[in-house]
Amino acid sequence: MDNNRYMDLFAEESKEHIQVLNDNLLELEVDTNNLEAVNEIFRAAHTLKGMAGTLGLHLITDITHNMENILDDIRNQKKEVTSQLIDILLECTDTLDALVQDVIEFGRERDRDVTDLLSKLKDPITSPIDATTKQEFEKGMELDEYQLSVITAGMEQGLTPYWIEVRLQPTCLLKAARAYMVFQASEIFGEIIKSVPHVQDIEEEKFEDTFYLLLLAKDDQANIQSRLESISEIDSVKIKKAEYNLEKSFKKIEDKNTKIEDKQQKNNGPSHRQARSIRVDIERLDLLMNLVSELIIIKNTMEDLSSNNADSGMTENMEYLSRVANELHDAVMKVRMVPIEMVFNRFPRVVRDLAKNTHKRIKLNIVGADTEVDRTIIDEIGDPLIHLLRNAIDHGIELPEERIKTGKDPEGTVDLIAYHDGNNVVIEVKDDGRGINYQSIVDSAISKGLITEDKASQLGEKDIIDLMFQPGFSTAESVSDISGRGVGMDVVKTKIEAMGGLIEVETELGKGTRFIVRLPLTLSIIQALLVEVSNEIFAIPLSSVQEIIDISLSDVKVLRGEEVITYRGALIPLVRLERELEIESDKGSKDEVITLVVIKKGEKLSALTIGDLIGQQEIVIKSLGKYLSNIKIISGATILGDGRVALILDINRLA
Amino acid sequence: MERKVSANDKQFISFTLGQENFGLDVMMIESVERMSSITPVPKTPNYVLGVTNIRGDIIPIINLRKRLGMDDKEYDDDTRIIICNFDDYRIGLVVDLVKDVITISEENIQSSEGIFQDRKNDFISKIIELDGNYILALDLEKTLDIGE
Repeated sequence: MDNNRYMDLFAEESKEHIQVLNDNLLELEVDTNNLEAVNEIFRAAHTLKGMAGTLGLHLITDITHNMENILDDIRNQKKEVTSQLIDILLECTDTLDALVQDVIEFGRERDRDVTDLLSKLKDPITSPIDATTKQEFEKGMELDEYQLSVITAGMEQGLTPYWIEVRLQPTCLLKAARAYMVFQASEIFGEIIKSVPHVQDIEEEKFEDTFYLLLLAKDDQANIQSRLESISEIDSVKIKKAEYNLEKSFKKIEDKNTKIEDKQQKNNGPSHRQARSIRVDIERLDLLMNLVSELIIIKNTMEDLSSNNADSGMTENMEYLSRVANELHDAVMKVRMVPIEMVFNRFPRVVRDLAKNTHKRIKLNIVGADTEVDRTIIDEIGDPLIHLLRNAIDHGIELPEERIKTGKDPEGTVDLIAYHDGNNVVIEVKDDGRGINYQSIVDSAISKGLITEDKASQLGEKDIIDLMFQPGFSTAESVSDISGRGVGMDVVKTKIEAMGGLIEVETELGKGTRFIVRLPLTLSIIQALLVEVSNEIFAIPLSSVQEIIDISLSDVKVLRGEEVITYRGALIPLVRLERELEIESDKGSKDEVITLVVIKKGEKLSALTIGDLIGQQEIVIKSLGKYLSNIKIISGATILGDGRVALILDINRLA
Repeated sequence: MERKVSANDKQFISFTLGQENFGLDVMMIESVERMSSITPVPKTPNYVLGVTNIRGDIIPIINLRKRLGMDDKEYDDDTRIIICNFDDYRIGLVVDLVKDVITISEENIQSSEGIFQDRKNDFISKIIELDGNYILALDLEKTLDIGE
């Protein structure tokens, strides 16, 4: 397994935990008795520790471990929450953030000095405050490029930069007001480039007694000194020229710049790719998708209108609009697509554990992990797939001894395969185990009272497979830990169908079983073929259409009461759409030649009779709503250019 | 008809089917629409007329006359669709004529329990008295055959 992938995962997740730390520390600051926040912080620190530990990130582990100790003391009321403690914990959080950033950028922790922090964590009460302030000051002395350029420009005009340290009397009450007076007085002489702490913090009295100013002024040090000292409640004013700093600072910035270049060069390498992604609430994407859908409906309406009054400028612009709308749709769709890897990644571990528990030897092959599917599918497909895997391992693959007896490799194989097929994504779970024993399914169903013996004898293979998906069915003779708890295949089927998908089973006794899950790739806008049947317009997803053919009536044969045609040398069933849809056909079968749409349902083909062919169009899939949600052969509806509603046929369930 | 609205008052939209007056709680009503083209949906009960497009949303439409076991009637200029929004269901009911929004105080509303014997009247949950006339309040849940 590639460690880098875990690093990426760690980077992504730890950002969240750090956010949790920050948020809850801030809450705790407001309400120091908020035990829930303490628990949240503890959990986040603990999770971070665990993740960092497995990846060998020692600094993060050390810091989080010590944080845990403190938090534990707080939980057990051995320590009180003080603002000082919160500061330390926040400092830890910042350090953790920096360390995580290192991991993202370099793939490992960089050496950072955390001894100071750790000692503070170990004994937060006696830690010296002055040290922090001093550190902060030194850190604050660093200037950014803009500030440096202002100073350089000022120096060229004969001005001098001064660092001024102002200490207020400890008894001073309105510190912010005094500081303001210092600012004002200083500005008589020149421009304040920078202050430490930041002006805003000074205004909010977030400083002890001392603050620093970087003043760019005429060389008049004595005057400034006496002017500032004349302000009351000031303890001391120290002024020194700051010019010696400049060259060094510039060099620092240059160093930084080259570092950034280095980094960029590194980024070109394949291994340490910085995660350039943002997380977006799926609801916002849905909203965007809905708006795109609306746009496409209006576009279709306008296309209708413009085709009626053929103005060349209009047509040209319509085409342009149409292209932009389609590209917009593609772009939004792509945003929602993620590799199915996100789900598959956790399966090797699942399979390993299952194999161990069942004393079987199993090899898991994953193919097509980079297949992209809609985000909503990712969220939903995990559980059904885990169940199918469990099923394959528990019921499918035999014990090694048994496999040797039947001349198989003692190590069983489970294939997990994902690929695109038209507008569908297909996921297969295939094992080379014992296959499904139809008779044992039937027996089990009878004993569970799902069917009567009479009925059972009339079942075809397909019906028997269907039994397996009945609620309350389980083939395991004894209820095992892993599967066979009765909440099995029916849940899998329901879940897949809820996503607009389909599950098929192929099995051969002694050879193995293949579960094929077919899911729609896009969930809202598709290319469709519009057809008319008895004055009503229906849409057939273009991805299911194989070909449109005209055949003469005499080519339709009847075998045992069912109509079939020969298509490319093979017999395929003929499906009368108006009969399936239970609508009356207004024209009899007078026509000598009928138009058929050959549709594919997985590997199987069948031919649909239609009235008239209207054409191909991009349609926006809308739901029929909760009230009509259980109509099997209709998967949804769409709004046509003239405002009428056309129903979308669910080819997977038709005939 | 000027009356003060009090906390115990309820508002109903009143409509007619044939000679009879019906009412629906306004809290469930989204809008009242004119008749528009309806696309039939296969494999649905006979009282489901189909679906229509109301400002970009697809809404199932029910023929209330058929649902309540009354004779069908041609649509005319007064025919309206009342769009109801109830427990995540959005459904349109076709009615002969929409009359008014009425405000009724609690004491003028009576449960219909024990009044009707015929099962076809199970859809009526309450009877409202207004100026000596009676208005039959529909129970949407039963009318739509949902929640079972």
